[in-house]
Amino acid sequence: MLETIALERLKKALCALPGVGPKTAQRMAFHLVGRDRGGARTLSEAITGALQSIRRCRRCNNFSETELCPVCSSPKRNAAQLCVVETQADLESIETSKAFSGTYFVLMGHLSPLDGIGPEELGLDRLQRLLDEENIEEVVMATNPTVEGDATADFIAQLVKQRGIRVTQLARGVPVGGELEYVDRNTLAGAFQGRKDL
Amino acid sequence: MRIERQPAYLLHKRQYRESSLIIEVFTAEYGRLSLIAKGARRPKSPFKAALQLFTPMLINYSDRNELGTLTAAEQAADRYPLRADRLYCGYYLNELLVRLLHRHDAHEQLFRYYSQTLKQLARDTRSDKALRLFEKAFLSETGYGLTLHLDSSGQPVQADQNYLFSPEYGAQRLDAGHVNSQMVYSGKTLLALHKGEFPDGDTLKQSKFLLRSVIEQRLEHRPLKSRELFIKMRRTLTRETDEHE
Ligand SMILES: [Zn+2]
Repeated sequence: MLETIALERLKKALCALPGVGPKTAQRMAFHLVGRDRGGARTLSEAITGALQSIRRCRRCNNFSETELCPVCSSPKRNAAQLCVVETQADLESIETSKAFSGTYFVLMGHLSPLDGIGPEELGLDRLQRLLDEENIEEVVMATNPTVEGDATADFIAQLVKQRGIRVTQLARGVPVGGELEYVDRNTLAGAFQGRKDL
Repeated sequence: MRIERQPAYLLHKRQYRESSLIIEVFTAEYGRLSLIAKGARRPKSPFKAALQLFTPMLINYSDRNELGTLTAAEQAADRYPLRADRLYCGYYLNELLVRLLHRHDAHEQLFRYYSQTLKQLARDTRSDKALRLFEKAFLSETGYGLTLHLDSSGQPVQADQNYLFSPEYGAQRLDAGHVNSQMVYSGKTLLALHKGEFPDGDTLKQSKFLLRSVIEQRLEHRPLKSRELFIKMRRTLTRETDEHE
């Protein structure tokens, strides 16, 4: 029963996808090999192609098909502004907002002392080199507003300040369309601290 | 068993499956527990805002054998704002508790000490004193109390004498002129630590070494990650190697 083995293999492989358990994997597998073989072929080629061509940008860790990602190599971006984010997904969100026209550095995580994730694991030596070699005028810390995110931001801020470069942090406030009543106390406290003149 | 509105602190969290967390918490009445927080990593999870380190929480959970289930979590008071070095002291406390407390052993007194120590670390008082007192309380609350006012032969410790100290044998008085490679403590330090008062920098420093050596033994000499990281981070900042410790 060779095809059964192949089917099992496919189901297991599909379980690697986020949010996909054995049941969903089975449904997907049946669909791909049964009903939509053309689509399955396209998917398989797309995955192979992506794996071959996509790597991490040499400068910022962003996904890229070239040594430098489109953001780092674009002449329209202000390379003097560097935004530090925890994950690729954070970078994508900021890009979607079009709120920022500088470049990025993706840490791929945050400081996590009990898990042994420190400066080396976050590639901070590379970030330091970047700060030393380029003309960065402002580093925007856009780590998550958690204890770990703040710890990471504090530490990087020290590295940046040592070099006499300006460091800023994203303001914290009430989400648009949100109701004050339902906003958690830390967010409210942060929003009060960051209030502005009208 | 269902527990409701239990005062607790988050000690550590790690990802579990796609959208959940396994959390280590320290509760007021039931000690350290591991709980699964289902869906805690989803964008709208009700757990998200409350599940922060160094933050007094009230939690509901159902307890089953090794791994219980978190059913509610709310923030009970402001997060203790630990910054810079203080933050790593906080991580150090958490790692001690995660490494050395057995699950489901109640430590009500220690819970109060933990709370107090966070409060002191958050204030602008000297953190080293607060840490030494926590370490001492931690040892005695977990069954490793130190006898500091009597030496190994049952004699009162003298402030002007020197002693060796080990958890097994306690304080051993050193004869004058005794040469020993081990760390030597003054009687003054032992008595100061016994009382929990540190009159000067020397007693505080010696107390730090004494407590560290006892804790290292309890950790079976597997180093604390939070400490290693703290040293590494300092080095990154000072760009020096082995500047201290
Ligand atoms: Zn790039």
